[in-house]
Amino acid sequence: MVIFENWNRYPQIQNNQHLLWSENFSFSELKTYLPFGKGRSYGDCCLTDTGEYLIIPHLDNILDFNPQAKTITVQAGMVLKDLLEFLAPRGFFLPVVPGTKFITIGGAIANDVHGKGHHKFGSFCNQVEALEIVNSQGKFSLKREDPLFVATCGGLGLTGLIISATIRLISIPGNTIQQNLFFSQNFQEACDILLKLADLYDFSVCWLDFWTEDIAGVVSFGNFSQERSKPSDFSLFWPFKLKLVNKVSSFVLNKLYMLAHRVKKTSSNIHYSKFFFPLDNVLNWNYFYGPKGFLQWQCLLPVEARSVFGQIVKKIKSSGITPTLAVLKNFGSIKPVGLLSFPIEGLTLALDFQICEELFRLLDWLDNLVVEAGGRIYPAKDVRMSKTTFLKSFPKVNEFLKFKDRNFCSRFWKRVQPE
Amino acid sequence: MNILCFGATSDLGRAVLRKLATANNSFWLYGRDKSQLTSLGLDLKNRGAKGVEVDCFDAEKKELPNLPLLTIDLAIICQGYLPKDPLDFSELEKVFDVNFFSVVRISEYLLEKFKQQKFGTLVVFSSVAADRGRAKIGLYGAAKSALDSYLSARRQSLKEYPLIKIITVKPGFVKTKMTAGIQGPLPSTPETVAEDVIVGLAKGKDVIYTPWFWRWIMAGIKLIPEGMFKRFNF
Repeated sequence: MVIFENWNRYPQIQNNQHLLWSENFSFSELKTYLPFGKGRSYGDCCLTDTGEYLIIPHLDNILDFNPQAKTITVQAGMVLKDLLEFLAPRGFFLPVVPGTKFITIGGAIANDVHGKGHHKFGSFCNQVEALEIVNSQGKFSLKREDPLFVATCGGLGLTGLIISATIRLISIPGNTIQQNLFFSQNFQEACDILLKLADLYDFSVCWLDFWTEDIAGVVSFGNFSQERSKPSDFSLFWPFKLKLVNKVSSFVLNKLYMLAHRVKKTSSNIHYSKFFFPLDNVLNWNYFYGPKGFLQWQCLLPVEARSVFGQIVKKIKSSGITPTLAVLKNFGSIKPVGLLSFPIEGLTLALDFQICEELFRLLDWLDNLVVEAGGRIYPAKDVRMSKTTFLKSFPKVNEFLKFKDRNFCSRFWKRVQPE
Repeated sequence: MNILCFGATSDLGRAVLRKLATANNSFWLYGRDKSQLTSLGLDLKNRGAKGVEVDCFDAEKKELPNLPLLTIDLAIICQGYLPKDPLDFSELEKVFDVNFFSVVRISEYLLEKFKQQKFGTLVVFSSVAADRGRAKIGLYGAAKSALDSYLSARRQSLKEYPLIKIITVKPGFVKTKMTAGIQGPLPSTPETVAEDVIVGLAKGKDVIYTPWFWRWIMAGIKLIPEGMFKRFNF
């Protein structure tokens, strides 16, 4: 029985050893551990073949809420959905939310996740003011200036178990987003729209259709607006193991998506859930890819190297492997906190692929291109990048090694750690 | 309202308590882990609860909890223990202590108080596993069956007290820390269960199946003749 799986369900690892973390837990020297939240990473940074999972979702209490100072202290197992449902009616929100609300705060910090508003707010750890972590050396309360704090942000859960965090909030006038849509004819245009108009809006994202000749896209921008609306209750659970995604269905899906946006008003107010978490309505959409799972590949290129995207697109087009879903986002100049944090100023492209043999060769080739251009691959969404790719693109790894706990290890780390 | 909860730090307990955390409600929380209880207390306070008291209580020890001297409007018992191996008889005592004996002991104690008050609502978490014994659910199912039977008996015995209510909650497979590492059929979340409990409370139901479809699934499963049932593997 495999239960501890990542979101893309590849690779599948037969390891069911787990422990609930509690106050009187003690680390055994001979074992390695890995914190496990909701298993929403698209990579093996949340998997371990030989170690024990430390489960935290039961640590989800709000320890302190200070509306005046606009901060909240929560335990690390708190799921974003619950936190937002607490905050939004009270006129507050998290400045950075990723594409799903079903992740824990601990996971958000460990992967230093980013959202649609990087150009305004930076990534998740830019909002974190204090942390409490526990590792084989003891329990630590960390402030922003502590070196261990810096290592833990984006530290992939390898510096210890995050117990609680204090996070800065933003005030919001209502619970809806005023969304504006722009249509782009090709990849270049999508990049231009994203970069040019981003300053006018707090949030931006671009969806791309790789099934069109020039890669048409829909760029959506949004700001919180004063209006209030109810979230839609619609949510679907796919109880079958049948594979739904194939060439035909992903072609149709992309066309339908485009059509749906064409007929929509280009400016509208929608509930925050619909804007930030459009895929969450299908609770297990990852099962659409069948029992073998899928891969997501997310690369980041510095602004000055964005012409390299042209080569990436060309290579993908000529390979005959078309991504089911493609999303482009821009990263602003705000410096990330962590040593292994992903963001640098530039553009990031995330592609969902069905798994096939040629895919791995294609992605290796693309990895090289990205790294040569000064870019990097997102560790939270990786199951396959080579050690050289990782070490080349994350130069602060050696500094990180000083803080990595000897009792914490993941499958990802085993793969990419320096000798 | 004055609300008591046993096994408060369980996932189901927390989910229900959070739904009830409003300015009119005060809470008395019982559980084993003091630090988790304290954090939960803070959480309920931050969500707007009027007051929170916490008290350590171990369901495995044959003791009675310290009840508040005030009137009790609602008591929720959601402690539970699921052994790793469903038919591990070395766990027999623990399974029955936590899931049955202790629950009955607390219920009797509370119902005595309810009788003096002449009102009160008792919500007890059972399980759909109680409806028919299966190899995969083993001792746990047996203990919950006993619990179901006790609750139904007690409900009948209290018919002279129209304002005392006993509610049996029967969740299907819920993803919680108790079931971590188990892949069950049609999984639901503590959130859904909590919503159904709140609705059931307002409607004054006796038995709440959650999600609702389990009532019909279990009704079907109960109809299968034993000769056929023993061959099944679910």
